[in-house]
Amino acid sequence: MNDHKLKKLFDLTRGETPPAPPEGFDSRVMAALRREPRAGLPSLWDQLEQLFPRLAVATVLIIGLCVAGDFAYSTLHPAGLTADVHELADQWLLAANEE
Amino acid sequence: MNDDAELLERIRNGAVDDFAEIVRRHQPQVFAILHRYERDFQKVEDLAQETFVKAWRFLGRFDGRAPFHHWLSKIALRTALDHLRRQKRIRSEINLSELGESALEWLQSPGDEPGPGPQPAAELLDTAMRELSPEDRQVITLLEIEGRSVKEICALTGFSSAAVRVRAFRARSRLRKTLTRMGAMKNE
Repeated sequence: MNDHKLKKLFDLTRGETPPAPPEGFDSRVMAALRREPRAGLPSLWDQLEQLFPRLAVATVLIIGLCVAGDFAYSTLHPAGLTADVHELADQWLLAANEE
Repeated sequence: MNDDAELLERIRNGAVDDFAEIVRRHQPQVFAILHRYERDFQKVEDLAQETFVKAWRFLGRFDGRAPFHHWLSKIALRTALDHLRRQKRIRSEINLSELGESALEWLQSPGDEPGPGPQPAAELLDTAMRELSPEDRQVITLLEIEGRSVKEICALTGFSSAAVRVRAFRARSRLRKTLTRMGAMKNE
């Protein structure tokens, strides 16, 4: 079996006429549907599924903004352990002692 | 008559009986797709019904971004794939007695004979395709018989284009081997 013969088999198969749906097939489907729960408006879950790509993009944007904001703040106000300890002591520990 | 979008809107608003019109419009397409994966007409009919019931059940998820027939094709293909997976567990052996003489003779012929008719050819291919995995079978059917592009197959199946190409290559190779073996089996 070579490629040419296989290709020919595909071509021949493509020429086959598909079967026609039987008479009354739509009625049979409708009878089956009446036993199914009614298809109405999309459920909350369906709507969330549709929204998910947009929600994901929005979430990534918000996280990105927070990281960028934090980075910018850290650059403008460089953090140092000594300065932070002093600040903490001034604001909380010493303030508590003064009372 | 209304186009699909209007009709679907009416169905969503409670005009349940209008779904029959959707079935009438799209049943030839659904039967044509399913017939590629199942040759027993009664089973094709059952699978077609299953396809429309699923479409009804998940109608809320159809967002109208793609044409309805495209969405329905995906459901039909998914139904066919599930069917192939069930069948794979039941029957996968090759039985030459199911095939016509003309197809087997053509299979054994060394030259470039005209080939059997479309139906014996389809039966021959269907038998050989039982050796493939359901996913490989679906990819090669969409590519070589339905003449779909790789991009379309990606959209319909969810496979990447690399996966489609790999599956198609593997399916062709497996089919060549199986058909050669079938030709040899006839002589035994």
